[in-house]
Amino acid sequence: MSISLKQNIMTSFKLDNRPKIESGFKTPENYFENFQANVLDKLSNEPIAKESKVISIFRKRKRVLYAVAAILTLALMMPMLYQSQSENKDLDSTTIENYLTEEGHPNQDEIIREIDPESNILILDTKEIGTQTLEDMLASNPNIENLVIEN
Amino acid sequence: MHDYQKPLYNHVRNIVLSHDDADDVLQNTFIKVFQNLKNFKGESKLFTWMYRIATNEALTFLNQKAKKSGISSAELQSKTIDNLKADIYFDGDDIQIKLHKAIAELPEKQQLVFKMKYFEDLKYEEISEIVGTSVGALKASFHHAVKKIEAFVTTN
Repeated sequence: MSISLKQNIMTSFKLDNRPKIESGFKTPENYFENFQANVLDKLSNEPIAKESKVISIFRKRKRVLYAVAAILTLALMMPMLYQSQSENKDLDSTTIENYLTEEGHPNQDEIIREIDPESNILILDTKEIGTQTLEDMLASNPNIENLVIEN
Repeated sequence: MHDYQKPLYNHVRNIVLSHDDADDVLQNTFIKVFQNLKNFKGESKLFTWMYRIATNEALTFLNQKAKKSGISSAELQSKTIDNLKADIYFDGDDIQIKLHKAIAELPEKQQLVFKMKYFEDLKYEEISEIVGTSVGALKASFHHAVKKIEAFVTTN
């Protein structure tokens, strides 16, 4: 090839204007024929640990975790339930005490009903007891047993 | 495996340049493909998925090799091209070596696009699925790559 022609080609290098330039790379003989066997051989020697999937501990133990969460919730609620019941009892006695102190002239009837609303004990009106003598009461009332206030 | 061996080898070889390196990368690629096949849900074509694995394996290999040698990927590539003449698995002439040198001057992604289009004859749509770039952007990238290569070869 003349120098001028060579120079001409080099000065106007255009990829589109010439046949496709191959990469120039080549492979050893029978490379692709042996390739599959080489890969399968490597695969069989791969440690099993690499193939194992990492499973999240949370996914595996979901049910256990739900159960634990439920138990914990109940356990935390127990003291609250107990406390509310206690408070009711306390409230009741506190209310009664305060009432007795503040009211000053508690009606016996009201006291007993407060303590034991189911009670069948006959309560005499204190005012009536105050005006009548005990003797008169005993004499006039045949159902003496009913006059007895059980403690 | 047989259907994809040659095209994937060519793809990997175009990136790593040396046959021994291409062989290592290709084997690792197929091992990864086999190990992850059960996880392949068909969101893309199998061909695209395999090409993506091969590309990542090749680029990772180059980066690791460069790091081990204490040089950059670009320097490693340049060194490998300089040694191509002595490579028994390269039978190209001066113009082919010059073309490889010109390609090595391009940015990494542009090199990939050029090689896949020019050497491997992949369609723009296929390249788009592999590298995740639009067809329009790929056409522009290839066009610019061609201009740079032509200018490099002309002046060198």
